[in-house]
Amino acid sequence: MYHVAASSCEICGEDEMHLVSCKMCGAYVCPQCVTHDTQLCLNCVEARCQICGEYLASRACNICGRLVCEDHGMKVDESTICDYCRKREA
Amino acid sequence: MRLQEIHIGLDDIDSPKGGCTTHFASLLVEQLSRQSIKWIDYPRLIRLNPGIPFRTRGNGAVALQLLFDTSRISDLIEQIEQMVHNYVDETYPNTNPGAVIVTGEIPDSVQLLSQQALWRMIPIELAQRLVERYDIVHYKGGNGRGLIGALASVGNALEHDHTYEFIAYRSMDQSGFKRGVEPESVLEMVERMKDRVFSNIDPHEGRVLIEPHGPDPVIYGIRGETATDVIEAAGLVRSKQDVDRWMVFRSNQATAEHLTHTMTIRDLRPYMACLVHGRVESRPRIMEGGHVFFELGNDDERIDCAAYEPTRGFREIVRGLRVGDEICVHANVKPRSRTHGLTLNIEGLEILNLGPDVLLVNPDCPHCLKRMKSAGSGKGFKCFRCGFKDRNAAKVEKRAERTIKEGLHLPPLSAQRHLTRPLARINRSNSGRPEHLVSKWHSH
Repeated sequence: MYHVAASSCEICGEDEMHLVSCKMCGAYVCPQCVTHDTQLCLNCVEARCQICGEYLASRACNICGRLVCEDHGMKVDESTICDYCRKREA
Repeated sequence: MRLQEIHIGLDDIDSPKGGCTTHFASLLVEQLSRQSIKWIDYPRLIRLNPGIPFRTRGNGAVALQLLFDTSRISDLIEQIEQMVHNYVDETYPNTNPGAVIVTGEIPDSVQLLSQQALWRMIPIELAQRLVERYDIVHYKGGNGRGLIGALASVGNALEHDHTYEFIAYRSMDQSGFKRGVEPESVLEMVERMKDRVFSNIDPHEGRVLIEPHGPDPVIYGIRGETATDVIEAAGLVRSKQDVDRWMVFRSNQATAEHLTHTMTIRDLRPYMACLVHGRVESRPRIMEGGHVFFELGNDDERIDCAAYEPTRGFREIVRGLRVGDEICVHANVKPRSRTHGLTLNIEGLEILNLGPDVLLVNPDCPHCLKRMKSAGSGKGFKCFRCGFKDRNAAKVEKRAERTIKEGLHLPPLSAQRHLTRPLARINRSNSGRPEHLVSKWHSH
């Protein structure tokens, strides 16, 4: 089995004694790959739902490009429309 | 003039409304071919982690490798930037084009990023750090996300398994119309080319798979084992729309290059592409929408696994699993949401060991051999035919015949990822960079 190495950052791979666990995804990352105010890793900061910020995005809105979680983006065939664009179009 | 090896990486030069990074690459190849250069490799079409939500369609990036007059690198990046501006739909806010030019050897860190980008998520900042650390000539638009794929493509030399794709393009003004690929010509092509090509037609439904359905400029793409094979195959395919240009790509498509890491459940992270071994912990259940779910366990941890409706017949295999079966799931990790925890989206299923399918059934009547019915809570069983009662009788185990077999199972070709190794390519592998390119591998 592959186990996450306890001594290297899961994002940049740099060896680091003081890894921090991301509050959102649990990844062990170095101080350069975590935001200190939120304790979120760089991946989660970028991938958070741009409407609620509570969950990670699972898709991007085809109209505005916003990253959204399952609750804030509706699938229409192959496309995704976020809540903001849906309200605007309605 | 001093010709030196350079690598150009391109990514995210498209949008949901149209365009395609491979098409853009073909325009750039045309421009470069008019200059004093020498191609070292075919353009490489590198598919990256298919679980990343930021991708437009197939999460593909393109690398070009050539000998180039390095005194003109700054002119080249300006030329690429201008071409990108003319090409992309700048009204779509999630198009974040990226281009890099690396001279000489690819730094180890870029190669590492390239390997990581196949199965993990990479933040933009990491790509930017590498660009700064190695002073890589680059262009980025929007938020710079395209730099990730651009670096990842130049860092993947396809030293191991690879395949080829011939992509035929229509002119951009034709993008809103039907492509009209003739299914009969595709069938004839597949029959003639046999196993030199793959994934071009669904053998069960007879459905043509080489023709995309979006507004992009691709008319069709033919996948095969060598450049010569895909060029020959393309000569047999007919379409209503005219082929405006074409190009052959060397690619990691159909190689399963993204599925090389085996993870325990506790080490899974959102968006990972990986293999997870474990035991089936709950009987699969079909949910609204036709999706099938079950629980997988290892090391005292459990996780939901999902086979979605578009995987059609594959769901029947998944539904045939029973508690205790040992399996290896090929999956992408879907992040948790308000309604579910981390979930493995199943891309393939290896059944390693089928356990018994044990059902608990009412006992048979010892006199008339018919199945008895419950006589009530704590009252044993009663035969409704002859009236026999047995207060001490208990349910008995019955073994049902298994409906599924051990081995690798994949969704139908139409539901497979670009990177999925189809059954037609099991035990097939092409290795090493080609020593010579065929004389004509692009149209212009």
